[in-house]
Amino acid sequence: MLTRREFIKRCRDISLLMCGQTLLTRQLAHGFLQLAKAPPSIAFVHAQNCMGCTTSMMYGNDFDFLDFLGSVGNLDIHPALSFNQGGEYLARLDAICKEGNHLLVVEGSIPSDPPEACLLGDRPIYDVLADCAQKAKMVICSGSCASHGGIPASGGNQTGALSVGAYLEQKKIKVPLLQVPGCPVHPDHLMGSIAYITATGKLPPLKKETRLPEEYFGELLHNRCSRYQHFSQDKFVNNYAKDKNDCLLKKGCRGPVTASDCPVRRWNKRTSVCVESNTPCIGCMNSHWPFKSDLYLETAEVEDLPWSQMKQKTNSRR
Amino acid sequence: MSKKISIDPVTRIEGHLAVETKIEAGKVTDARIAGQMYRGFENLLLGRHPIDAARITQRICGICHEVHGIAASMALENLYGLQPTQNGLILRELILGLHLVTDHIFHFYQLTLPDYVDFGRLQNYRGGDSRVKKLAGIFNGSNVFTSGMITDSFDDTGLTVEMALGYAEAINIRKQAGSGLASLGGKVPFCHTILPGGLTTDITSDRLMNYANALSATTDFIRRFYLPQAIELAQHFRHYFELGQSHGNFYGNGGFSLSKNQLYSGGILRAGKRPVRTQFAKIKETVEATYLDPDGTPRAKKEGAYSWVKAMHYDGLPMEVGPLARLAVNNDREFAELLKPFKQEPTHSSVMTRILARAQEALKICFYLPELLHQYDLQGETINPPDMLAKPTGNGQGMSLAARGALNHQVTTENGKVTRYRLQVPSAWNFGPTAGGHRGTVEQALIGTPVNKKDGETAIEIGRIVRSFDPCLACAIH
Repeated sequence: MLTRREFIKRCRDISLLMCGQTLLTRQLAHGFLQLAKAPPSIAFVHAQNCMGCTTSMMYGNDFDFLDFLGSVGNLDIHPALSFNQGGEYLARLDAICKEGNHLLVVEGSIPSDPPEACLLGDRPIYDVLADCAQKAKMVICSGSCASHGGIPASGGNQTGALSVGAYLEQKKIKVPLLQVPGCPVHPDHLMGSIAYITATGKLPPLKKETRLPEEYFGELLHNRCSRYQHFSQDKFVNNYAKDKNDCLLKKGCRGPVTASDCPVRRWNKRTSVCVESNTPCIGCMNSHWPFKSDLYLETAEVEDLPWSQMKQKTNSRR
Repeated sequence: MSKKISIDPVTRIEGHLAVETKIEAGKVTDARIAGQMYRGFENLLLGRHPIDAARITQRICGICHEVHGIAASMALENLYGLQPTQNGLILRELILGLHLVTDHIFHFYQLTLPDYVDFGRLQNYRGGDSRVKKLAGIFNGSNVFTSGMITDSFDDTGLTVEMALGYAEAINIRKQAGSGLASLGGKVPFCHTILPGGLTTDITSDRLMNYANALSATTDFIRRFYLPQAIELAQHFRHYFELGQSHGNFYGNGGFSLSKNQLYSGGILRAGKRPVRTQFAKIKETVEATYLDPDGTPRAKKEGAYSWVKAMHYDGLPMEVGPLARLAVNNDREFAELLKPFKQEPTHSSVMTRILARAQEALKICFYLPELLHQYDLQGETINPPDMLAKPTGNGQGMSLAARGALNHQVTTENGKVTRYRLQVPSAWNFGPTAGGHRGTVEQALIGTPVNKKDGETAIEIGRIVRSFDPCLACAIH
């Protein structure tokens, strides 16, 4: 059994880990006491998804999936992990949603036309999700499809795919919504947000303009890039085979128009990240992902473009 | 008197799947497999820059995340007339191989084992191992990990504990393998360094070292946990060698061919015949029972349709694909050795041969990959970069393999824009609907299964058979 002093000390340590400051100690302590009473149940629902976000979460980074299972919240239902199936599974989902106050994590976009493009238990997810969200404490969009529509909503969008936000608006359901974009979602972004919510009972601080978690999406990728020095010295990658460490801007890097802390957080046990592996950011956390075309812009198109026009250029590929 | 048993949704798979079976005299006499989610990848690629396909198609599936990037890159190389560098090819196989292995590990521990092992028994554990206690806390504390489905599991707490440790260790080893993949690919899921022509990464000796460490840890895991536990499972559930038999036709693509010990050559193996070379023109897709018009437009209310998956046929016949198909087509000797104590042939389609084939393949690949590390030339170039400003008109085709079977990508472009993209994906072969008078592969595998359940109850046997094919519905439908 922990003493009160030890308990507060640990909360302080966690706060330090999470944001580098002891600011959140009190909120965390309060959160943990809440948690001891009733751990919020976490329900995952998959719509038009690819499971990449779940896979990403299980790979983990700073957050470890097993520790997450053991010490944060209470994973109550997950389509890819739940031991039960069929009717038993649907009954469990139904019970969670009827009881309410759960954290609903949605992966994938919601098809609206035809709604039959995604079914769960013979019902369109378009109908099922409304039941799930109605009494939820919060809805968390895991990944770009749920947050912004993503790939299913791109191109001809044959299925009328909607982001979760657009869907809830259409269904007139009012519930606190958190968007955590990424294709796939970054494990820390997702598990960290959930941990914050379970600990404090509140949404994490959001960036004003984008309504994304400030901690992860507060700054442009470009500004935190390990190759920023090369950029300021005008050293650019021209040939992928020869130039291995220079700025990728002239290969159409979308770092300047995409907000994320990828370069400092890195991926897969902090091993690497796209830009560090000499491949431009393709903006998978951008709200316009996957753009209209040309994920890779070329030198001739972006050469010597001033900042503002560079932004225009990438945005024109929406 | 007949009754119906359906499982909707089938959980612990990739994607959205429903199974409906008709039971007469305690046996399955008819089965329908329905894929339940459509996004339209072949359509949403139209009009895009061809190279985009290497990034977008990866997002078809987040479990088999690298395979589509590789198959698309091969198709694009074909289109651009681009020869990848030797280093690029090696790196690509290193990524594909380790990724395939982690995929198999995930399938066995996270998706399959809960069908056979009653992890609830962990609460009987009286030992002092803190890892087990922690796990028991996780398994007993969460509704995800509880189910009353299993009644025929082994009555052995010690073995249950070992399998549970495997379950947890599988997650840890995938994390480490992910780090190995990221050191070459930037990150997983979805390596962005894979482009037509090779890999963009600056391959340094420490990056290779990190990969080698991950590979050796993974190999160790397979030898200590995965393969022995798969064999253990087969011993306890011997009757599953008799269940889940498909039509007996197999199709596999070649791959892992850079070293002199090529792992797989491609081919077709029909029941009772010798393997023959694949003739690509004989592969046909039909939409007879699929919610799609022949031109690919979705039609959710289509008469006579019951699935979003297209039916794939070779020479008019459905084929089984996957690790078992690859080993069967290549008449693998080591696999035959492994099956000897069970008195089974490597060409026998069943639940347990599929599970063992996967474990055997994982080990095979782990033994194959280190040789590539030796072949790698640190001074050589990693990529022969494509000209992104070129505006090609033409066709390209890429034949590769995925964890779940043979994978083909076809791209057609006009003046630098994609005008047609076709994906022939493993799970479409296995999970296709009845068409042309032939049941789909998994539908056939369900026929004759003894089921002793009432209407509406969950039949565990059916789930076991379906999962032994490692369903990936996001891929199958795309």
